[in-house]
Amino acid sequence: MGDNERREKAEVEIPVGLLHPAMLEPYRARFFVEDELIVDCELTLDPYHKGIERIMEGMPVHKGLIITERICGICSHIHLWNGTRAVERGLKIKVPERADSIRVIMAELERLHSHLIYLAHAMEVLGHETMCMRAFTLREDIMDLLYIISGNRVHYAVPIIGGVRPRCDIDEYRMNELKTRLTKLKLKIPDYANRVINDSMIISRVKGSGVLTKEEAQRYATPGPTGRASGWGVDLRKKMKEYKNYDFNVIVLDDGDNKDRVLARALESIESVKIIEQALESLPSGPVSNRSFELKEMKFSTSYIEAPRGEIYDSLSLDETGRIRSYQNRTPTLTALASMEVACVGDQLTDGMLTMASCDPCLACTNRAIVVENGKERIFTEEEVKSLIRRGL
Amino acid sequence: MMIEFIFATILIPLAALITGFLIPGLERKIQARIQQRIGPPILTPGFWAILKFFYKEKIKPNSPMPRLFHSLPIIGVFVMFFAVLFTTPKWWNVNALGTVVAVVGLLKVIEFLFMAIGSFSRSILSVSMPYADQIKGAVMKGDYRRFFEQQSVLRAFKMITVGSFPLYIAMFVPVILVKSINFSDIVQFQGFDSSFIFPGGIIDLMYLEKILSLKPILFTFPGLIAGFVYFIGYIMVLNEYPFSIEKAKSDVIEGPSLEYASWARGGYYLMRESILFALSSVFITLFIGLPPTLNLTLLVVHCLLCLIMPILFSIVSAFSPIFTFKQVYPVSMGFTALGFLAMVVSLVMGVV
Amino acid sequence: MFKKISRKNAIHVMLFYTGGCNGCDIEIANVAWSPRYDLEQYKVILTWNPREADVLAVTGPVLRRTIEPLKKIYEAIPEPKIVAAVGSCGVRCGIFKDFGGELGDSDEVVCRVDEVIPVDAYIPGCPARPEDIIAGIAAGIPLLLER
Repeated sequence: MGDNERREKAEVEIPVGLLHPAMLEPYRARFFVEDELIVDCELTLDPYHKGIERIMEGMPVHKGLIITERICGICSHIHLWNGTRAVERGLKIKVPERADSIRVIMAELERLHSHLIYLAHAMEVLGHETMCMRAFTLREDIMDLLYIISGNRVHYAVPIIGGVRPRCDIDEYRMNELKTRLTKLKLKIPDYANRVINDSMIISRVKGSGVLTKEEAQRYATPGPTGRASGWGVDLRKKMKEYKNYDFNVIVLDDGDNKDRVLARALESIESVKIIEQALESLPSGPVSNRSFELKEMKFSTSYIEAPRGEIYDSLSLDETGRIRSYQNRTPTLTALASMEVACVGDQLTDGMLTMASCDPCLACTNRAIVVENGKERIFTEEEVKSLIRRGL
Repeated sequence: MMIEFIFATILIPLAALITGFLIPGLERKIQARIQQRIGPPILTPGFWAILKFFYKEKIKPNSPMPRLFHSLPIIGVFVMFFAVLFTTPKWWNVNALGTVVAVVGLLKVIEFLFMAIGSFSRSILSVSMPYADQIKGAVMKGDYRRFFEQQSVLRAFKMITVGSFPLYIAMFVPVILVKSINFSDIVQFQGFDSSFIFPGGIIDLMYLEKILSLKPILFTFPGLIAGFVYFIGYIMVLNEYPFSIEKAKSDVIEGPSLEYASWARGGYYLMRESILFALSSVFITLFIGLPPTLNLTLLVVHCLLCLIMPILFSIVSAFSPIFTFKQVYPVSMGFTALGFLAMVVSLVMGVV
Repeated sequence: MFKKISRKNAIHVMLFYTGGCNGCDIEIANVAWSPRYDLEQYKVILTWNPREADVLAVTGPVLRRTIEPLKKIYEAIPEPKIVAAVGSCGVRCGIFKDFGGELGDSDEVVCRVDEVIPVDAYIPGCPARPEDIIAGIAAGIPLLLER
């Protein structure tokens, strides 16, 4: 894949199968080891392909966008927001400012809960059950907030075309709940991060293993906090118009090992709390949805957004009656896992599993395209996906 | 005489079995309270789970030698019961079996049993999962594919080579202090003699002041260090957190015992409980001087003291991750050096 | 007599995911590893080994690649066993099948869980709430006691 050469022969292969506790999703990984040290690995994700883009073809756009939310069970709001954003940009629909702020608040709450799942899962793969349970306890507060605002713990369905669902408006009760719980979280998350950093047994496992250098991160286009932990990466939130009123830092670290990946996400959670507080202070008044548009033909329009794992790209095109003609979605875990295949070489097998889990993979989002050519299947590499994107398909 | 011998051979393993039923439940309950939740009831992981496994359907495991595979946990249970029996006074006179060296030999059998169990097991969760791997375009087709259990066996081999030093060095420190390998001399050094076992009857209640008059080796300087090193060696031989690389859930799921089902799995749980009890009981005999005897009061006190070490180890394992071999080698060497220090100090104390 | 008491007092649950969106799997992980919904206090223990399990919890619509593993793992569990289909994808493939009417379906989603293995308890929800998961598993236990 790319221009690094693969070895011809290795001593032993250990296949890690469809059912495995290290990642809660079906995947198949083959590790090639020589006496516990990994020399190569191959990861296939195709057990997971459901053909979502095929299901969405021909549907009315309101109905089709419900399916985008169920692409992933953790980052569900961000997929739906990106799809509606693409439609709004293509048809030039104006979104009221209050709706934009509420969408930003939900996105940052989702980023918080996703990073806490990541911390709990990384501790579980390390073998430390106590810290895993502490992270899940912290996460329950955020799930309560999401339930209060939208009515469900996952799959909130907050954005609609032209704004936000009227039920999800932030009134006084929700404002009070958000403020009290956020002040509590602001103290507890740094406390948790400190406890992880000061524990010498955890640090001895996590430091120095799974190193991804800056050149490798640039070559494999590593997205999101994984790339920023290696010293490279751009935060798309600084370029989005919905975030331009808020003041927050972009976390970039140097070493590129597992410790930096954990630390980058812990620090980003603290920044997310800051953004939510600023959004609540300056919440503009006005309507939350704009219903005065009509659906017509749209050539194709694109949208980029920053999810908890990296950048997501969406493109949609509609026909005259407002039905979806085609839909394309590209998620960040594709290139994150490709970089992890390179980063886990040279470590022991247990550290290799930790590296695979440390890029925060969400395999449900990832599997998109299998091409069947002349009766044989072929899975796209990221180079081929990028060239398809550049050609505008 | 003969009647008491047979009585001891039946009663003491029974006490070991009953105390063993409580140990996994106590372990899970203490870990749960540290994690700020209510845990399972105390008898559930240790007793009701084993009984439930006995009532399940008998299946044929995926193994090249199924009958040998199923009989290995029973061998483990009996080996550990003999290790407890060798420390009782009735067995001391049976032909050089009442010595520390005999118990060490039995422990070596247990360490080897984990390797043997893993070599005979072929679970569906690794290589035999029905998935088309060897297709055109795959990386490195046709090489040797290894099951999870076989990888565990290699790790167990490395743990035997490196991880068994602390336990055995700590077991020989009382030997050096007392200058004899017989259990009878070691417990006599700490103040236990035949007047503890009242010749007339089996139940007698005046023992509290006699028990408090013991002078345990644990409260001397080399004894304290050796006790601490024994505790770490205990965790290593049991393959528990932090030294549980052989059974790590994040890569080999469960280690060598993946193919045990129904009554053989009950037997495997029993083997683990008997190892937990037997190593703790040997510690109480060597370092505190109270062996398991035919006297019911003393036996109850011995079993209660045997519960302390599993409780301590469950607290330690609630706060630690899994170590890979990069960390196990230095930690084990460090504790071995500490054990050597205790040996040297006890040699000096013996000469002076 | 001991048979019923012991089967009621120690239950092992195993999770198998056939390709859903992963929301229900995280809710099951919440039930097992979160101190708020602690599952161990109800004498139910989460395991990853089919040889040790009594209850199989299946999530997700069945995809092309996961039919065979599902059958093999179901056969590897010793009797008595019950199966719980969790989530609206487990119950009737959720929104991935029969959603578009005459537009047709994707070929990758093959069938429902109860066309491959027999199911005893159905737990709906998208995702299924943790309280419902606990109640659903508890509702299937009387079936386990009579087999």
